[in-house]
Amino acid sequence: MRRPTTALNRTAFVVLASLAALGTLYLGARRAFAQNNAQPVTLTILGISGWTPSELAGKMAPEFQDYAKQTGGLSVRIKFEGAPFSALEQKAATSLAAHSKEYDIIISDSQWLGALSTPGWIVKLNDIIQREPLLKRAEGSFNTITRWAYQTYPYGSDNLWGLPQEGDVLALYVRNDLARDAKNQAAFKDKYGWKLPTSFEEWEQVTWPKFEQIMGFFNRPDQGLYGFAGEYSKTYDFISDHVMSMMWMWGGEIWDSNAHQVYGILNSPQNNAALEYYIALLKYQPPGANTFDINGVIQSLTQGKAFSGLTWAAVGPAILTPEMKDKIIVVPPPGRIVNGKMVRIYCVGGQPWVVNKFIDRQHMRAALEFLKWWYLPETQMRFARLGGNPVAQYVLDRPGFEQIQPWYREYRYMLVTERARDFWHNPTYASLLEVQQEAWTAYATGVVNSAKVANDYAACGQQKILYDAGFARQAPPSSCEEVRLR
Amino acid sequence: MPQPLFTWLLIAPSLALFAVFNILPLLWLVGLSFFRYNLTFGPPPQFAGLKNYTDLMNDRFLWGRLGLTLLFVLLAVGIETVLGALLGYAFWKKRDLPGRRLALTLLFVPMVLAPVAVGTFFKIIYDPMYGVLPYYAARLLRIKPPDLLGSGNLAFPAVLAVDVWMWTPFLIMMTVAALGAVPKALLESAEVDRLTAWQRMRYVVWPHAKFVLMLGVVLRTIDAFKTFDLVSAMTAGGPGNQTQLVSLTIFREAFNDFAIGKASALSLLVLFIAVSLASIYLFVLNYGVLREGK
Repeated sequence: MRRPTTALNRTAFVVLASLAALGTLYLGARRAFAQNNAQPVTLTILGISGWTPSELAGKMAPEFQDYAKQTGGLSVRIKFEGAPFSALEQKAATSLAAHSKEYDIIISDSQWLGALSTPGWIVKLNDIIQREPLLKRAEGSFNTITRWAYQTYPYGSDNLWGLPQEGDVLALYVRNDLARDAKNQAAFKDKYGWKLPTSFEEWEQVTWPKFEQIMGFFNRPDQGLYGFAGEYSKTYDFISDHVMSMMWMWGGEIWDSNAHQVYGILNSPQNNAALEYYIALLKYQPPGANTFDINGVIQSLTQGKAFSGLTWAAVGPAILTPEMKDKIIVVPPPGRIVNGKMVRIYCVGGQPWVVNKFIDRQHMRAALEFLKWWYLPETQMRFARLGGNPVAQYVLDRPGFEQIQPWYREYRYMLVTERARDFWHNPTYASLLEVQQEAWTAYATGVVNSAKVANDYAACGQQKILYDAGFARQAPPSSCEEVRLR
Repeated sequence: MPQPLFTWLLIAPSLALFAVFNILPLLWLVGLSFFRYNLTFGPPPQFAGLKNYTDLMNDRFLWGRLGLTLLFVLLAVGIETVLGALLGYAFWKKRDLPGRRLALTLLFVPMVLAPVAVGTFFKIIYDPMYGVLPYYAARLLRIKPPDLLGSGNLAFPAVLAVDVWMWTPFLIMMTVAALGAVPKALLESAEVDRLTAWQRMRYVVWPHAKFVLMLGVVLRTIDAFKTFDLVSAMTAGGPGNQTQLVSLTIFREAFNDFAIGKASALSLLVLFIAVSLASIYLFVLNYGVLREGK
């Protein structure tokens, strides 16, 4: 008689026990979830040390931390780690090659997109951009060169691997106090018969031959003043950015990106002339200019040694010091008249954000929140006010944008597809660059006396690199065996 | 506990560390040198047999870089040895020289500085626009400030001079230590026997001092062969390829081009050359002993 009661009790016990277990599980999971949300996620960014736009990401981090907490209830802490340009790729690539979670987001250089994406180290962003309205809006606002340079591999394709962290262009910094000086104005007009430019609009009309007259006019070594300062250093890509710009303006190309053919293109007669021209400008520059890096140009300008200097818009804050900001204006670099039309093509600078593919979901979520925050109009405006170079068109087109920083008018003018160009984006980028830097610095320092030999050397070396790596169909010709730098 | 077992137990930790941090990486390096392996493109590591080595043999630029490195080693170690021996002898001979201790201490300063810091300092010192050296050279010699690191002809000697500045003190130290090993009694006997300075050097000093001195030369040779940070900071191998030593080439292959297989093969080649050079030194040094033994 007692059995049914026992059975009922047993059933009730099982049910109750199951409910209790589920309840415990539920409460435990809730607590764990709450803890997960409360535990701060450390988002580590690897960027370029000593480079204002890159370091601003670290400086602006507290603002993101507040944003993440308010919008997604995410507790995020940002850690910024830096490496100089010349060591950033080694640091990033070796860490990613080990599938390390050390860095969540990396500020890479645009040309590394191929090298970082080919082995599958970084996240392909196409789907994420489509899914996230904030990123989609930002993406839709980038102009073509911004998209090609900071996002794509292969260059110009639809494969998006990065999002622009900062944009950058080459800019000409000019000592306008000297140009405006009445004596200089009169003497220049007497000598050359045209007005020494003093405004953005006047500089817009300046071609390289005209600029050479200006450089020559202000080249006064006896007074410790030189006409110009450019980049010629072997480190990283310093001489390459400038020389390639000259080559494009002289009507040359640096390779055929479809066939991966360099030989016969890089060492073309136009490119030989362009290289020769750029190296010949050393006669208007301070002693030691043939090894100048970005710092060499900055120092020449800030210490009053050079009338003008060609370097990146991103280093505006370093050049426009309190002593110099009223003396220097930032204008478009010289152009070249081709078929009656002014042609102005320069290397694009700037860097994209890329996301480490090996990080866990929690870090990935935080990284995406960070990127979404980065493209908020207010974040981009804050970045601009601090001296970074935003790229979202909805910020560039805001009234008064060009007045925020002294170089913004030039920056906006140059960051368009017909005036800015990027190069390679190939996994062999670092090797291609190294041989080119070697060749062109050899010519700049007199190790070889012919631009043709320097370009032949670079073209042969690059063709071999691309052929050995399986990109190019054609091996370098046998004549390359004879090409040496000394 | 038996004595041999106890001995092995005592040296076991050192052996373990040596195996983990020296032997295993070396074996790994040897293994990698037979693979075609590039980190940033291409397929996963593929066995390539001796391809990396044959590529190196056929690389016409590599031999130029090895030649440049050998020239650098020869000149750097040669000059440092001569200067170090002369100055070391002077310090040893003149023990009552006023300020000797202070001078010796100061002389060692360059040696304890980080080469990359030295390279950076000298880059500034050599700068033709702001540098101290070109400034005084121009004033004293009434010439245009020389552009030492920006000239294809001057960059190599300019880097070499910094290496000599940095490492001559090491040879001074070794010379002083070597000469200190000569028994005083023998030197006094030599004086009583009225040996000439040359005879004293040849028959009394040299046999006792040569081992320590040659050890210094061997260590410097191996070290000079590996010179990297100094040159990297000063010239990055430039201008052109005028200071592109082989260590910079290995770095470039491994951490610029990420050609791990080729870089491994090149590292082994350089290791082989460095070990061969050290062996030649040791053979020459022990030649007399070996001959007497026969």
